[in-house]
Amino acid sequence: MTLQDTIARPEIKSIGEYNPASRSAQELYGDDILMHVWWKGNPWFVAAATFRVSPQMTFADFWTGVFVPYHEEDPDFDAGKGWEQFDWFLAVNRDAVPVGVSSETTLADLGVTHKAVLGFTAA
Amino acid sequence: MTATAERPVGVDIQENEQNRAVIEAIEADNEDATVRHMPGLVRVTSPGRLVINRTSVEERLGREWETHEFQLAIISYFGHIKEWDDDQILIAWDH
Amino acid sequence: MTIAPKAPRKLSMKDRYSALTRDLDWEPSYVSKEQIYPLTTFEGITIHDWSKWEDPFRLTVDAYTKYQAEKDKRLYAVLDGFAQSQGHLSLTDASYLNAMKLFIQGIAPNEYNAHRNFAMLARHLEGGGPRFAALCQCLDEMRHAQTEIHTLSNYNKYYGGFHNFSQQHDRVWYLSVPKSFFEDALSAGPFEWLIAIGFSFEYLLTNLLFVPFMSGASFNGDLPTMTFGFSAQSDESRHMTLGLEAIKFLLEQDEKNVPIVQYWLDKWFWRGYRLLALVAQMLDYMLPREFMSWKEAFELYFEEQMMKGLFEDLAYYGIRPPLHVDKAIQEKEHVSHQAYWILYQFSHAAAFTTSVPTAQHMDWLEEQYPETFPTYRKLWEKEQRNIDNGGRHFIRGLPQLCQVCQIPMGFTEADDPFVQAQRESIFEGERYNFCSDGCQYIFEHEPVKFRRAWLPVHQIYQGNCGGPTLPDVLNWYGLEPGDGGEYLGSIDHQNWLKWHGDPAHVENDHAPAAAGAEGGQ
Repeated sequence: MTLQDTIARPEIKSIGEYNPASRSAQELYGDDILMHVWWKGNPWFVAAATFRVSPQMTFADFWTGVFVPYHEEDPDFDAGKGWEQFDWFLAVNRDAVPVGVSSETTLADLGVTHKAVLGFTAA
Repeated sequence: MTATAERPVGVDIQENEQNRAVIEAIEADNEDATVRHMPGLVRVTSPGRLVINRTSVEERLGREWETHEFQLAIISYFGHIKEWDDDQILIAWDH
Repeated sequence: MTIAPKAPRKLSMKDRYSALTRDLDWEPSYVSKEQIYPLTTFEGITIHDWSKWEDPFRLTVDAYTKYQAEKDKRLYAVLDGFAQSQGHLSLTDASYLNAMKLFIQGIAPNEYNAHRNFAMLARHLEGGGPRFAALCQCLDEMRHAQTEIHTLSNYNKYYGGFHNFSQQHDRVWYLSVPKSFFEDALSAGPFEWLIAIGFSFEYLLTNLLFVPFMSGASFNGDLPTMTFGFSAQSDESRHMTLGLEAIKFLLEQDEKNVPIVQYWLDKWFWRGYRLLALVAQMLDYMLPREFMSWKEAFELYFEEQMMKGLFEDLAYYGIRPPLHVDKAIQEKEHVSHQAYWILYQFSHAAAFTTSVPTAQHMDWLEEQYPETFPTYRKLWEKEQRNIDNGGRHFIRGLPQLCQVCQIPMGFTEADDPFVQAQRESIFEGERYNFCSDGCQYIFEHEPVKFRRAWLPVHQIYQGNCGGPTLPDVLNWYGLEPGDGGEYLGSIDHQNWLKWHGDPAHVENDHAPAAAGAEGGQ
């Protein structure tokens, strides 16, 4: 999936050819991607967390294998209430694009691309 | 916008025995100067301009003092060093 | 007819300075100026007359060496006295040294970097005056690196976190913040460097870096640090002058320079301000005896001196205050709390320790920040409940980093100050994340440079940091037991209690350790 550029290449002032590649490009992670998981409005977590995942991972596997082990460190988080306790969205700048999650949806299905931010807040 | 003549300039000086004469000279030669003591340093501010005169420092120090010696005393300043010659150091804003 | 020769007339400061600079700045005859100075055109800056550059200090080689030698003599006398009298035992607390660990890891290596780049300027600027000023600053920066390392080496005999600062500067996640800041400037052209480091850092922000560290040292019994700090700062006034002369010179030389300088100012104000988040948390949280809050320091050294003083002066040239400065002002109530909370949660992977502030310290914070600290206090109380239940918290995962400042993305929205900000831009098919409008703005002007950023978290996930597990990474960082984690119960803390327990034991415990370090006993 190709992302739509939000900025064009500006003029570069340099003493020679200057065109270094990204040090965080998706290709550097094989078939995996990095994703950021962000509990919006919960300052217990100092920042969103970054994970290396397969985009083919189902949401159920993400929940049990990635999400819960990390977020259960907040003593106020109750994993037993399931993922329905949250509203899920993709954060794009200040916008929140809602996504519908279910056991079999993959991260790719949700639109989670390399370095996307999957956000959630209490429903 | 505040006039150049009123916007404060200032200098932070290490608080020690040798610098006492310098601080006293600044207070004497800049009548609107304000002095504030902070841990380890003294902060002198003055509206518009702040001047340090070699002869005033020498009178209080009882020995020759060259203006370069001020480099041992100064920690920081704000404003613009407009003049630094054998007799005088002047800090003021330009515009 | 003259019988006896007259005593040589002493030249005035002005004449001596002119002899040193103007007279050593001759016109080339068999090569072109462009061949000698190849770096002064590509940035788009136009200079018509280099001789217009004034250095009010009018420093000459003899005066420079005379006063620098005197500064070093004074410093070394203090260092000897402190070491001989076991001065480290009279600090307020061993936890105070966390501020100094951060200093030697984050700042001292960049003094060294600054010396490298000023050496380059001393070679490449076209005017005799600025070349000599750059040469002096190059020597100053080297002196700073050396005196800072030498001063703090005394603590390395007794405390963790000091032993491996140079390697850690290159590798550890939070040190990528100051490292990438300076490397951004090092890889820029000479004029951008002058505005970035000479002006924005030295003139605009250096007071917020040095004065809090040094006054904090003074308040906490750290005489050597206070002395090296003031010794370094006395050079700093010359550096501030170089920076201010540089910006005025560029603005006066050609109108076309104004928008270029304005962008650099916008960029480097924000870069420098973000870097100072590390100082903000130090000032508010790492000093056992507090003396001034970040908010007060920011108001005094930035809002009063710079916004009300300097920027009115620069308005004459068509320069406005930096973009996003309003965000920095709004953040003064928040930034230290957010930055320390980040360091607290990740200090298991750091070369300093942290701890929940004491109740008394939180009362002080509440006095300083009556509007905002009560909310942060709730976080600490939540953490205190964790600790009471047997679990001091360290985050087990890795944080999202800002592509530009490289700080974990814990800073919040100006109009929603308890919600972390998220920004992103997509450039040539790849998404990049930012902590703020300020960092996003910089990326969007220089995406090719900033996509090259070495983000510690992304590198760990690529397997470039020693291995896949946390112990692998910490080993690669060069951390040893006692360097990081919780302060209470740490090796430093236990030693401190032992050394201050029974006064009769202080000497006994201490002497063998010192002798052992020298291979005695």
